[in-house]
Amino acid sequence: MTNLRPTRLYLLIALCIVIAVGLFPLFGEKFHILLATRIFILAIFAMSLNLLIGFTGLISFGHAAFFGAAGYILAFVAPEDGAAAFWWSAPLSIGGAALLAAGIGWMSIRTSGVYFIMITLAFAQMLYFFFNDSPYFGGSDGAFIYFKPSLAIGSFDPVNLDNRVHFYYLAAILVLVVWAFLAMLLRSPFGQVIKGLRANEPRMRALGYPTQRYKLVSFIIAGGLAGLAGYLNAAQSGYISPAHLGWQESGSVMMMVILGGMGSLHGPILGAFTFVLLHDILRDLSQHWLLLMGGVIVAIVLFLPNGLAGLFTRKRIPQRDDDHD
Amino acid sequence: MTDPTMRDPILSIKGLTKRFGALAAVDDVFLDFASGETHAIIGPNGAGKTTLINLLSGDLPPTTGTIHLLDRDVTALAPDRKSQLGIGRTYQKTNIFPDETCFQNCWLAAQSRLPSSMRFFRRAHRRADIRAATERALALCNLDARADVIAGHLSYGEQRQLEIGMTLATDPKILLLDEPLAGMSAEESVRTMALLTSLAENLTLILIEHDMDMVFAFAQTITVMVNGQVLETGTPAQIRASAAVRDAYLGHGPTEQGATP
Amino acid sequence: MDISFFLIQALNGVQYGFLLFLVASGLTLIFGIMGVINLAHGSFYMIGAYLAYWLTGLTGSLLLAILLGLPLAVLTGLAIERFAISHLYTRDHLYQVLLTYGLILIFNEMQSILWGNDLYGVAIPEMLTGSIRLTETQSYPVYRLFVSLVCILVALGMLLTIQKTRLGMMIRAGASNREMTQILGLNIKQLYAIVFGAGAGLAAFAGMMAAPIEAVYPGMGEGILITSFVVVVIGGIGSIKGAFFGAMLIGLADTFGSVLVPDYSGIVIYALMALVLLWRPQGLFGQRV
Repeated sequence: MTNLRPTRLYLLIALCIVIAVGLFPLFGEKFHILLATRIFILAIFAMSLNLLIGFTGLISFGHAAFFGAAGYILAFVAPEDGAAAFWWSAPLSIGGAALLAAGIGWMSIRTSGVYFIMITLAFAQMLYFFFNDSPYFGGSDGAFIYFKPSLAIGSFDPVNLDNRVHFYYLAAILVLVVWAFLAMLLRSPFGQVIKGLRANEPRMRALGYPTQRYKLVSFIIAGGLAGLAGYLNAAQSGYISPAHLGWQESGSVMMMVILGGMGSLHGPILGAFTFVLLHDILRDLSQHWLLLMGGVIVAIVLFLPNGLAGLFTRKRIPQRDDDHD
Repeated sequence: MTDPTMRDPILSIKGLTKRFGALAAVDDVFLDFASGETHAIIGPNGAGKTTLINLLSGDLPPTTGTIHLLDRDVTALAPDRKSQLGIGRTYQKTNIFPDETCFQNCWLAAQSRLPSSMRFFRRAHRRADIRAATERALALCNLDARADVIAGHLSYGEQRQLEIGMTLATDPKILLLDEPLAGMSAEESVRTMALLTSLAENLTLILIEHDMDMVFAFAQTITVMVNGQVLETGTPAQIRASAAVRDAYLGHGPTEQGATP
Repeated sequence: MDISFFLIQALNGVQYGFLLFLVASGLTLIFGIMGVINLAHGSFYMIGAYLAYWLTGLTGSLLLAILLGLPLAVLTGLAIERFAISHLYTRDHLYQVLLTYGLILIFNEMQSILWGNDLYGVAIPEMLTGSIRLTETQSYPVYRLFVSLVCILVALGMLLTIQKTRLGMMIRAGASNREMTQILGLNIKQLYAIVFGAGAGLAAFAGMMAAPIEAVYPGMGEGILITSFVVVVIGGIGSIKGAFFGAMLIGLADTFGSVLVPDYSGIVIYALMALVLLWRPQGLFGQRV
C-alpha cells in the first residue's frame, strides 16, 4: 500500500466502489436493492444541502421544503391512469423546486446567521401547512403516484422504473451525475466565489463580489438538486405527504451532511449511507429508537465535530465569527 | 513631483457624518482627495479614522453627507460596488482567507474583475488573464516565492503584505489602507514602505497610520482628526507648523512616536 | 362579525400572544446573551405541559402541580445547559442546531416512554372554571382571563428584573453586546446558567398554563418552537420588546386567521413574517447591522 500515491489509492477505492455498486443487484436481495436505491436518493438530497452548508456557508434548516415540493409536483402532474413521462415531469419537478428556492431564498438571504436558520425553517413549515391544509393535495394523508414515470422515447423504452434494478441503476447514475456536476461547479469561477463566501463573506464583498447574488444562485441550485432527489423519492415510493417537508426531514438530511463531514464532495454520500444504516439498526434495537438516535446526534456533536470523515482527517473545527447578525 | 492640491479631487466628501446612537464617530467632515496623492489621516484613538475609512469603502452607510468619486455620487453604494468602481481597501485586522494559499487569496481577488463570476462550467484556474493578474499582484507584494504557502502559515508581516496584495489584485484606483504598518517588525515595515512608495506613483493612497515618522516622510497631504472632526488638513510642513495641531494632539513635536494620548 | 365575537377573538389572540411571549422571550434572550440557537426550547414548553398533566393527576391541583413542576423543569434546563449547551458557546451555529435537534428527539421519546402518545386534558382549577357572560349567547372563560393576567404579572416581573436589578444590568449588557459582559468581568458561566434556566422555566410555565386550554399532546413543543421563531424573527433577535410585540402580533394574526381564512390558517403567520422580512429584514425592533 505504501508505494501507492494518494491519488492512485483514491482511484483504486473509487473503482472498487463503482464495481461493487454495479454488481450489487446481481447478488442483492430485493429488500437490499430498494434500500440501496433509497440511500442513493438521500445521497443526492444530502449533496444538495452540502452545497449550501459545506460550501456556501448557508445553514438552511428548511431544505426538505424543496425535496417535498418536487414530490408534490410529480403527484400533481402525473395522470391517474398512466405513467408520466420522465422527460418532462422530472424537469418540471426540479424546475418547480428551484423556482420555490428562488422565492424562499430571495427573502431568506436578506438575513444571515441565526436569522437565516430560523427563517428557512419557518418557510418550510409554511409549505408544510400549505400542503397539509389545502384541499387540493390530499391533506395530511398525502398524495399518491400510481404509476412510475416512464423513460420511453417514442417506442424506445429500455429503462423500466417498475423494475427495481432499473430504478437502482438510474439512481446510482444520477448520484454520479450530481457528483460530477458539483465537482465541476466547485472548480468553476462560481465555485471559487461561493467557497470564498463560506470562509469570509465581508471580505468577498470588499473584493467586489455582489455576494447576495451568489448566495441566491447557490440556494437555487441546491433547491433544484433537492428537487431531483424529491422527485426520485416520490417516484420510488409512489407516495408523498406533508411529513416529507417537515422539520424532521430537514434535520435528518442535515444530520447526513454532518455525519459524512461537510465540505467534501463524497462526504454526504457516506453520510446518507451511514444514516440509513444507523436508522435501520437502531429501529431493530428498540421501539424507542429515536431516543438512541438523539443520543447519537448529541454524542457526535460533542465528540466528533468533523463527522465520520473527521475520524480519518484532522481539520479545523469551524468557529463562529459573527453573532449579532 | 507636482503639487497635489493643483489636481482635481478624485474623491470628495461633503458633510459626512456617522452617528452610533448619541456618539458622532465622524462629524460633518469635508475633505478632498486629489488624484494620485498620498493622503494620511492621523489622530488619537477614537478620533473616527477607521470609521471614516469604513464610510469611504462602503462597509458602513453614512448617517448624512455625500461621497463623490469624480462626478459620481457613491455615498450609498455597497462595498462590492465601490470596489468595482476602483476603491479598494485593506483592514486593520488582517482579513485574508487563512486556509487558502497565497495564490488562491490573490486569485479570488483578481477573479472579482471578471464582468461576472456566474460561470459554472469552465475551470476557474484555466483563465490566463486572471492568472496573470494574480501573479502580478503576488509579485507586487513580494510574495511570488510564497505563492503556494497556506496564508495562515505566513508570518504576521507577510499576512499584512498579502492583505495589500489581494486588494492590488482588484486593480484599484484608490487604495484605502488602515494602519498598514501596525504590528510589523522593523524589517517588515521597511519592505512594506518600499511597496507603498512604489504604489504611490500610480495610485491614490489614503491611509491611517500611527507611525508619525512614516506619515511625515511619506504623505503629501495630512489630515488631523480629533473627536470625529477634521482639525486641520495640509502639507506635512503646514501640519507641523499648526498651533492647533500641536496643542490638541502632537504635543512635543512630530518626530515623537505615540499618537495615542 | 359582531362586536362581542370580535372581542372574544381579540381576547383569545392576546392570551395566546402572552403565552407565546413567555416562550419567545426566553428564546430571544438565550440567543442574544449566549449566542446559542436553541431548538430544544419548545421542549420545555412540552415538558411543562406534561408535568402539569402528571402532577395535577397526582396532587389534584394545578397550582400544586405548577409549584412542584416548575423547579423540576428549571433543573432540567440547568442540567441541559451544564452538560450539553455549555460546550457549544464557541462552536458554529450549525452544531448548536444539530445538538439541540438531537435533544428534541430525546425529549420527545422520553415523553412517549413516560406518558405515551395519547392526547390528555388537564382540568381547570375549580375556582377558575366559570365564564363571564358577554351577551345573551356568548361568554368568555375565566381561566383564559386568568392566564392573561398571570402572564402580565410575569412580564412585569421580567421587566422589573431587567430594569432594576444587578442581574438585569448584566442581561441588558449581554443582550446588546456579548463582549461587553466579558469586559465587565462578570461571571459569564453563572449568567449563562441563570438565563438558560430562566428561559426553560418561562417556557415550561407557559406550557403549564396552556395545558388546560390546549390539551397535552406529542409534538406540541415543536409547534410552539417554530411559532416562537416567527415571533423572534418579526420582533428582532435579542429584543425583549420585539418578542412582546411579535408575540402579540402573531397571537392575534393566528387567532383571527383561523376564523377568517380557515382553509389556510396555518400559513397566515408565515405570510406575515415574509411581509416583515421584506420591509425590515432585521425585524421590527432589531438593530440594523
